[in-house]
Amino acid sequence: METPFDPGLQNERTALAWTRTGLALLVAVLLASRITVGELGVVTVIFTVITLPLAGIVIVAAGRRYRISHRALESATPLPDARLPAAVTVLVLSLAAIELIYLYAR
Amino acid sequence: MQPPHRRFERRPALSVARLLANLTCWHVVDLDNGFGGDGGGRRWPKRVYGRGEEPDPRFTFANERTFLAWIRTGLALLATGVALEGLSVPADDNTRRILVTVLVVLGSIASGGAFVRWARAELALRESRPLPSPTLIPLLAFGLVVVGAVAVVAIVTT
Repeated sequence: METPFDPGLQNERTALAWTRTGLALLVAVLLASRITVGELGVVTVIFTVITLPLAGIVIVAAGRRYRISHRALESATPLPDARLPAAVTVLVLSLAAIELIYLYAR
Repeated sequence: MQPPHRRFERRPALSVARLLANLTCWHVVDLDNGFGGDGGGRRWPKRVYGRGEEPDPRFTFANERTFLAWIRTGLALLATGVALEGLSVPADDNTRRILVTVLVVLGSIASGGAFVRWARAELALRESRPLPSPTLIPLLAFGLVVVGAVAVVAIVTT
């Protein structure tokens, strides 16, 4: 059995933080889609088709990132970089955008 | 000599083209190291990873969790806007529209600022400098106090 890298369980806690952020994103995308689809129609469909898979990918990538980090810690190679955080940031900003569009379209 | 904390601000803004390229190509081009990985040693953004040296991994993890906490704060602010709009609180349409707009802007600042803060903190860790001061905190605190006060007044007076 593989042991955790440090007693503070940094990697594990970070993986859990990623998972709950991914779940929150998934719920936010679903809610935003449900609320805005009546008013915005095609715009919402485009939004959902792009962002829903992305939110799913974030959750899958959370587990992947944990494993990559684990290997990195064991072998003293670099930790994962900031592309996934950047993607999450873009996702939240697109949620903000559709909320504003909805607010001023109704 | 430029004070150390100024050096980061003088660098060019994030390259949008590069970010988009990374977002669209990473899992196609570099499946093993791309998505969520270390980019095969070419870690993005370069202006963070290209300088200083690898900090204690615990600090990197803590910085990442702080980023995620800010992201969820941003999501919560967006959700607050949705709730106000959905429940028609306050009842006056114009006041509500302004309040929701401010909340959405605050949510965008929180999530965009989350990434900027992450990059600045990571760079500070890499260069063994003090962490940047938390500009997001006073901004959001002030914004929320204003939103709350306006909402209370609007609810009471209608």
